[in-house]
Amino acid sequence: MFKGGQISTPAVESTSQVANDGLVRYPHMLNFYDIPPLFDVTVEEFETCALDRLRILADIESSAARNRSWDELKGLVKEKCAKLLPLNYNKERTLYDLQAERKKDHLSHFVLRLAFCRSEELRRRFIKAESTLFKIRYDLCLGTEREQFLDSRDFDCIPVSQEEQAKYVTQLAAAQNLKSEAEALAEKHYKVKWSRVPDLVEKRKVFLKGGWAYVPSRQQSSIVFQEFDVHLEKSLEVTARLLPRLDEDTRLLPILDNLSQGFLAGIPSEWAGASTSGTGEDIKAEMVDSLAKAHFPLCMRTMHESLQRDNHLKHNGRLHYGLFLKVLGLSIEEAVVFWRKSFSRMTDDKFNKEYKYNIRHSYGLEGKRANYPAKRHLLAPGTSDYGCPYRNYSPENLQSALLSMYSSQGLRSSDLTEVMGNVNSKHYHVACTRVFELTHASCGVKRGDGVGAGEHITHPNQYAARSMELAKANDKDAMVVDGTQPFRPFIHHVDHKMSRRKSNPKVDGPEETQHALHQYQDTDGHFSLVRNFRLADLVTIMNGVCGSFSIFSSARYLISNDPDYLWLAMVFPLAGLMFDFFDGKVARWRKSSSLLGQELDSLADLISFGVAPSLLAFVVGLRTYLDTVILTGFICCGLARLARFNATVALVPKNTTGKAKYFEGLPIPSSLGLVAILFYWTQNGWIEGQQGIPLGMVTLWGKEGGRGDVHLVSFIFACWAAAMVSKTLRVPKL
Amino acid sequence: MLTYYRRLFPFKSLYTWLNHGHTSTRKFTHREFAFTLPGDVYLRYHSFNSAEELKKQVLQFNPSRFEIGPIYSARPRDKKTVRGAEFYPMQRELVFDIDMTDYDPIRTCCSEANICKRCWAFISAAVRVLDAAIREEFGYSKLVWIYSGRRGIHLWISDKEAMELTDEQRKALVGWLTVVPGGKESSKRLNIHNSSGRLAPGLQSALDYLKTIFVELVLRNQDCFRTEEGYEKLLQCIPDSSVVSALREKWEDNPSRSSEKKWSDLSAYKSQRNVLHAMEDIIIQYTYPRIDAEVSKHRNHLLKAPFCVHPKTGRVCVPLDPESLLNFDPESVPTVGQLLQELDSIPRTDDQAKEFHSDWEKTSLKPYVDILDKHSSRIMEDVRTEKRKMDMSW
Repeated sequence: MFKGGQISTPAVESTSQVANDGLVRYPHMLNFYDIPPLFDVTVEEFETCALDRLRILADIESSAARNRSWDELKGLVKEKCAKLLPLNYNKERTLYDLQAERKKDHLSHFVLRLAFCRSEELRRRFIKAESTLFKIRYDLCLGTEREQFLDSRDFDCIPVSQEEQAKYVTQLAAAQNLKSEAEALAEKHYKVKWSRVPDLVEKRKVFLKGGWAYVPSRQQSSIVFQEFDVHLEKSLEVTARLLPRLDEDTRLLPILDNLSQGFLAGIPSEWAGASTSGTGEDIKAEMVDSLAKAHFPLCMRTMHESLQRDNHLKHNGRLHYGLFLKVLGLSIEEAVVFWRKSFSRMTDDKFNKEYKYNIRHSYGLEGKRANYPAKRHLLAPGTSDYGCPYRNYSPENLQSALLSMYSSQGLRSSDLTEVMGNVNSKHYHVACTRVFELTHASCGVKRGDGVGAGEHITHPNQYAARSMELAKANDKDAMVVDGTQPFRPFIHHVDHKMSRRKSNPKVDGPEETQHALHQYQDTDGHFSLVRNFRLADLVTIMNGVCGSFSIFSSARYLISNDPDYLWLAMVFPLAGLMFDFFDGKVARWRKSSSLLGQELDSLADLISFGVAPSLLAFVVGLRTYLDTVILTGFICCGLARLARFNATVALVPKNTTGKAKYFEGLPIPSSLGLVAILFYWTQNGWIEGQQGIPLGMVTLWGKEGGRGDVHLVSFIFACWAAAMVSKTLRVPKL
Repeated sequence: MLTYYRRLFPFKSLYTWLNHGHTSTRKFTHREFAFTLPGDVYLRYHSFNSAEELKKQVLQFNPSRFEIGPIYSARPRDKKTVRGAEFYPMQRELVFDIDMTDYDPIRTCCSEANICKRCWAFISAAVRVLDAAIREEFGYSKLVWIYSGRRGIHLWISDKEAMELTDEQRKALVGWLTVVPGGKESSKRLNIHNSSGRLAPGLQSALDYLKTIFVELVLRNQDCFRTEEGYEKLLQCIPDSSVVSALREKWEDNPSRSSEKKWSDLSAYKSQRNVLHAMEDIIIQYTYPRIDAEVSKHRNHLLKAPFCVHPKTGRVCVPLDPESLLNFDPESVPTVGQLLQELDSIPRTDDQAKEFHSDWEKTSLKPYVDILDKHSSRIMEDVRTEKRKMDMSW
């Protein structure tokens, strides 16, 4: 769309051509952005001009979030605009290259349209910011120029005739609060549908008659703004519909993605202000830990804590955190030392092979040899492990994280409401800035100061650098840092608990769980349950089927005494084990694990490896009263074991692939071992009705043949049951 | 209640009114209905394809009342299956609610939920003003006033433009129409004149009418300023302290002086401009419609359907004719019990089937249903001409 080479308006030529009169294409300072830019631009230009505009819009938005007054806002935006996106008056045409700056304005607007048309939320925020920008510019615009601009566009207003105006002159004068009626008569009026000027109507500033509002030309801005909003909203929707059809190579979409995410973050500034020497001193690897506690923003702090705790970070995290440390002033040697120490569980060999390269690479010593800047706010959704905590954590987790990390620096729980308010309205950067202000109150940072002069935190390094600056300026601060030490164990403890919960996606993402559950809840079909089955679920059900078959075969054996049925009954649990084994594989292969699957798995296991083996044992010969009691106990223990597994699986440490590291207690499929024993007996004929159960029977009380009889082998089952419910027995996974 | 719904409730009239026509359109099928069942059970997001379906459901629920919501972008009963962002209110009648409780600070005859013929005069004044303002200034014509069953009155505007207003526009419209702030501040002093001493347009014409009824309503009928409390309120509105103290002295000496006399005492100072303005303020304050802004501001606000029965009084919410509103007596509205008695007294005919639909014709509900029917036929007429116009443009 922007590469429309076939449209023959080469930008370069035209600028040189119209340099003298300059205003051919953009006669006005203001622009309603009716016509998309139809000229060639470089990708770089495409991005930079959009970024410049985005910074202004982001400022407007955060100003709104911080309740700046209109005049303050106007001043701020004017200043920023002069720097990033200047627009000058027509009369200054000799001083500036009006054509170029208006072109930039035009282009940047349309680039951002592309970036922000994607979601309802983005559209809404974009419109709000853009129309504020338009209003500010309209305000700044000179009167004559403004009139020219207004004349250039048809706003669909019906001019009021003189006779009509004379007829309603009293009302018109009254509405506008004029001294005399002559004044009202002198001014030109326009008639528009009242619904187009709701703000004037609300304040009773116009005269209404039969659904028409009589708007004086002075108040025409109201119509213009409203028109601007409506127009922009409509075209954004159109753009959104057309965007998928954009025949685009891969160059623009990443830029657009980046832009729209940047808007959420505030300003997409590549925080490059401070290079390695930014903080004035080099940081040693040993210092990182204490610095983290005193100066790091929440996202980096979380990462640091998780690195300390697990002695590992995933690739993304390493990348972000590494670059963050680099910009903070950690030299390459120190970085290698730091990471080596952090990855203490690893052998030297592995570290050198797998990680050192990456560290050196990020310092520009390997590969492309580029000096990478630190990444800006980690707002990418989905990277829940290392994303922006303000964005990704659930409110409860966020609150406890904030409290546990920053309470020693003066963050009180009473402040949380405000921070959480910002978070809820999705102003994550404002929340982060507020936390900064709160935690640095002792250094004299007041509310609204941000990181100096009201700037927002848009970059983790900004936070850290400013924080360290403040600390240096304020010697007392060193004490505060020391003061955090005693709290360390406590903090660590809380953290650890939290992160344990976090490591399990089920607990961490209540929304996800909710969603998954609602899938079963919200579909109304009679057999919607069946429809929602995944392949893995069906495999699990097959496990249950095997268990049931085993039970029925046992029963048949009892009826018919045909040993074939007994064999069958013993083979089915084995088949069940196969299915049990495969359902997990299938789920991982199809990447569609369901909550239902986990429950199903346990229930099927109970049939196949709990009930069926017990019944087999009964069939084979453990048929006395006490035997049945023990077998029932066996089933019940299996039942309890499965229930405990389901309830606590979330808390058992996991390895990297998301599987639990070990079982607590003997897993129930181990009862197949018992079946194997029974199988062996059957083979040798050591069963009831043939040679009898090995080791025979003892009578514990009463007379023989009474209630006290028990087979000695029953105690194997009892022991097995005890092992299953054991807490201390840990069976490593294969 | 069940009998009332089965035999008397004019579902068909309700349907044509909401639907703007005889064949089902989105105006009806995408309309939200909410039911209040006995025991404060509240069911939202119901929608129906036809009047029969609605009736069936009503008979099944036997609700103590039901409410009408906006027209959504999808069928409200399918709410769960469409994505959140795609389910939003699209159109809705512009509605107003005037409630007698807002007049409590200035009425002397009753308070809270009670209402009598005397305080109904406030309502009828409000209706006159609001009716005129909406017709004149906003140019809407499809208005129907509905008595809410106890102490209030609702206005439903079904013009196409009015239905399509956004929330923001509704808010603006309410802002235009609100003069007396509701709630606790309602006794605060008004200042309706702008700095050049002129009344905002719209208010002038309202004032012209209100002046004519002020004496009758506020002074004679309500006698608002007889008590000390009453006239203190009046004095608060007067900016000139010398006038205030002079009047206060006079009235304290003579506590039984009637409101009318007190008003004429005040009128003696009329030549002073600020007193004249204050008097106009007072007239507006005491008689200008006090609308419940929240009802009108949002499209998704639910409002009780006409012909429902007010659970406390048992009176039916009937449409009113603004022409005869002055003479309307809220006590004369038929109650359910009364209607059912009337029904019993109808001689049973052999034709059982017919009885189910149009029994209201034989009761005192008939005139009210006719009002709504007439109103709907006006709407339909409009829709038809619109359609014809569109065809012609082809």
